[in-house]
Amino acid sequence: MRRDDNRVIRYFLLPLMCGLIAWAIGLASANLALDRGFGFQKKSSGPWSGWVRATAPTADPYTQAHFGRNGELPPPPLESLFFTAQADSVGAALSGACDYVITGQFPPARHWTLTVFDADGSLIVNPANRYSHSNATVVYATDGRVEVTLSALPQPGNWLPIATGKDHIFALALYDSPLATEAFLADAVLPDIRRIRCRS
Amino acid sequence: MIPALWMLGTIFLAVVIHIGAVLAIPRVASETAWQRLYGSLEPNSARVLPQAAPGATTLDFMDPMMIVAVCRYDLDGGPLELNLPTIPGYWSLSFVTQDKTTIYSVNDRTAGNPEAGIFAVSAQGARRFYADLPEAETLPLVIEASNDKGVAVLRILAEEPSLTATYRGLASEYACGPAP
Repeated sequence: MRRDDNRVIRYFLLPLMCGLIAWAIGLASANLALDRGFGFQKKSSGPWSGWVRATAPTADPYTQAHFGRNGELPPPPLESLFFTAQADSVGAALSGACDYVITGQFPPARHWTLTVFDADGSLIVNPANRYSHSNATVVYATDGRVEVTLSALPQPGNWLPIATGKDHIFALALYDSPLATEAFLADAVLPDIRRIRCRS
Repeated sequence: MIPALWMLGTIFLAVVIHIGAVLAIPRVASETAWQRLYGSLEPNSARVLPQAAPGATTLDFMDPMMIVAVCRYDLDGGPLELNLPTIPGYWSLSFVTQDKTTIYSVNDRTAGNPEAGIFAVSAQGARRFYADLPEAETLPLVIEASNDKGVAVLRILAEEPSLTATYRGLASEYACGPAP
């Protein structure tokens, strides 16, 4: 190899390659961090996770950037929490071809709502025009437990429609909840999402 | 030795780009909630957002049981007075700045006596506003805003579908404007 070739590699190609790699790693890791968040920014319980300092004055730069770039306006911090789930309790992605039951004790809150969204955060068309349940619309079991069935086909009891061929995000909003103060958040246990059956 | 230095340099540069991207993204992002809300509102006026529906949501992940009314405020011109309807159920009022920081929020349980009046004042104008307050048995709720521009978001929970029309009617009574 000629001496000029070595110079081209050392002073041009190598810095260019390192710069491109750094650019790609830096942007990809930032995008991933803003989409998923790190452990300290999100509270997870089973399949549910939520940004604990969403819009709070104490929010870290990642939380600020996550909400600063999207079309969400989360409910006020310190009194509300917003959790989402994109998988069931065993980690399988939510599918409109399957039926699910969300069951268990719901966390303490004056009010909660459970809503089905598509992957873009929009409501899903369904013939029943039913998009969510709340603590006031569900029928409770005698032991205080709640069971909500999510299926593309009508179901008895507390039914929320989902749609075949769509990706889904289940959202649980807690309004005026003691869990919204971080001191109590560690104890939060959210309901299970169990897959009942899938249609081929 | 030289390849190791290049690798270290690449990692260092990647960290710098990562941090720069996290800090810059909120400033260069488009179609954010702030842009959707702020640009569509007149200063010192309130509007009820359309109810969330498939393919027609003003905000992403908008709770379909929540009725949202928004007042765009600018305290440069002086204090702001907010008038809330009497709402029998859960409601919350939050003041949100452009960087999506909630600088203040109250709800039906913590607001005390909203009928006595709700005012927002800039940090600079607070002292004068308090001095000019008429003496009264019940003091109004006064919010000292750390940022002059923002939106005051009223959320009313219609926890049953049958309440939606009534509560949307109540939300339409939400008003904000310059304080007298």
